[in-house]
Amino acid sequence: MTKETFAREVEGHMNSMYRIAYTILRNDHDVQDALQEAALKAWEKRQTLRQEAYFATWMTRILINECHSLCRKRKRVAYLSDLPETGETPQGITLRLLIEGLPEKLRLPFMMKYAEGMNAEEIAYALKITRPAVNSRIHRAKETIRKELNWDDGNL
Amino acid sequence: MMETFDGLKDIFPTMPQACERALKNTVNSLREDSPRHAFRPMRRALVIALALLCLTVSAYAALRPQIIELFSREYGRDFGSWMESGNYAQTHASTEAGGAVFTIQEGLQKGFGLYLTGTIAPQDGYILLDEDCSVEEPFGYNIHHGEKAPEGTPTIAQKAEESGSAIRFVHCDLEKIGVEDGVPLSPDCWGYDAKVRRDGTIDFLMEVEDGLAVEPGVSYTLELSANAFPANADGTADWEHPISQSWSVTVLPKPFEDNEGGAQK
Repeated sequence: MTKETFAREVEGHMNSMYRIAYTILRNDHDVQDALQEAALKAWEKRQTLRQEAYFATWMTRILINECHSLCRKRKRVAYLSDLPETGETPQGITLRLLIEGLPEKLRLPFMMKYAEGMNAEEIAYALKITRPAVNSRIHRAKETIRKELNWDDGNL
Repeated sequence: MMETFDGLKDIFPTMPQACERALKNTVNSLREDSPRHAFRPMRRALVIALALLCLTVSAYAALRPQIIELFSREYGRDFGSWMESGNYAQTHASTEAGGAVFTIQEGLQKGFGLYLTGTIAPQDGYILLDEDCSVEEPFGYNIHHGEKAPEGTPTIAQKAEESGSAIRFVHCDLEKIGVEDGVPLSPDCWGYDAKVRRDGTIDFLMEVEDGLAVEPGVSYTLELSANAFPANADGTADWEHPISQSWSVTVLPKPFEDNEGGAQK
C-alpha cells in the first residue's frame, strides 16, 4: 500500500474512526492521541492488510486496541457530565446519554452497527469476539434502550 | 421522541478541526521506507546472540507466574513488565456447577486493578464452550482468536455426539468485590475473556479496573457466580435457566518476594 493510498483511506474513514474512539475514550484529547498512534501503528503493520477493501475493519481493530491500551495506561474514568454539547434536540440528547450510559461491551458494537453501518462479521473481527456475541451484545443494548424509552419492538 | 436509530451518528460530537489536523499531519509525516519487518540476512554472530537472548527470555518466562504470561499474550510485553511489580497470589479455589469445575488460579493486584486467571474444566460426560462460541466451531480451537483447526477436526456438536456428552455453555461472572473488611460493591468496569485448550478445558482471564470497587489493599473478597447453561445438540441454550453456583473467593496478593513457593520469582 502506498502512502498516498493509505492517506486517502485514513481520510475517508476519519470521522468514523473518531466516533469509535470517542465511544471508548469520551474525551477529545485522548481520542486525538489514539488516532495518531493508531495511524502510526497501522502504517508500520501495513503489510498485514491483505486486501485494501478491508482497510476500514482492519484499521478499526488497530484503533480499538490503541484506545484500550490508552485506557489502561492512563487509568482514566470518563463521566457523562464530561461529554461535550452537540446542539442536538432533547430527544437526541436523551438517546445519546442512554447510549453513553451503556457498558462499553454493549455500547461499542451497538455504535459500530448503527452509527458506522458495520456488519456483524466486521464488528466481530474488530472486537475479536464471535458473531453470535456481537449479535447478542447489540440485542442487549437495544433491549436496554427500548426499556428506558418505552419503545415498542417495531421501533427497533 | 426520536424512535429509530437513523441518523445516530449525528447526535454524537463531530471530529474537532484540531484533531483532524493532527491526524492529517501524522499521516503526512509517514515515510515510505519505514520498517516493514522484512527479513534481512544476519551475520552469524548476531544469530548466535539472538539465540542466546531467546534462551534467556525462555528461561525467564518459565519462571514467571502464569498470570503474567497470559496477560502479556493479550496485552503485550509492556503490560507484562508492568505487572511484574504487582502483588501476587495463588488461590486454586474451586466450585462445581452443571458439569463444570470452576477454579480461580491466580490473582495479581497493581494500582487500582485486580487481575485474575482461572479455568473451567469439564467433568465426565460434559463438553463445555464459552457463551460467545457456537457448537459448529471446531472442538479445542479458538477460531475467533486466529487459530486454524486442521481439516477433519470435529465440531463441538460432533464431539458431543461421538462421546455422548451433554453440552454446556459456561461463564464465570464477577458479582461483587470487597476490599479488606469493606462492604462488597458491584464493579462497573470488569472484563472477561476465555479461550479453550485442545482438551476442552477453558482458560479465562478476568480484570477489574474500577477505582470505586478496587483499591490497593491486602485482601479481596470476590463474590462470583459460576454459570452453566444447558444446550441441546444444535446449540440452542436455555439462557433463562442457568445452573448457577454462588461462590466466594478470597485473594491475598503479596509482593512477589513474600510468596514462598508461590510466585516462582
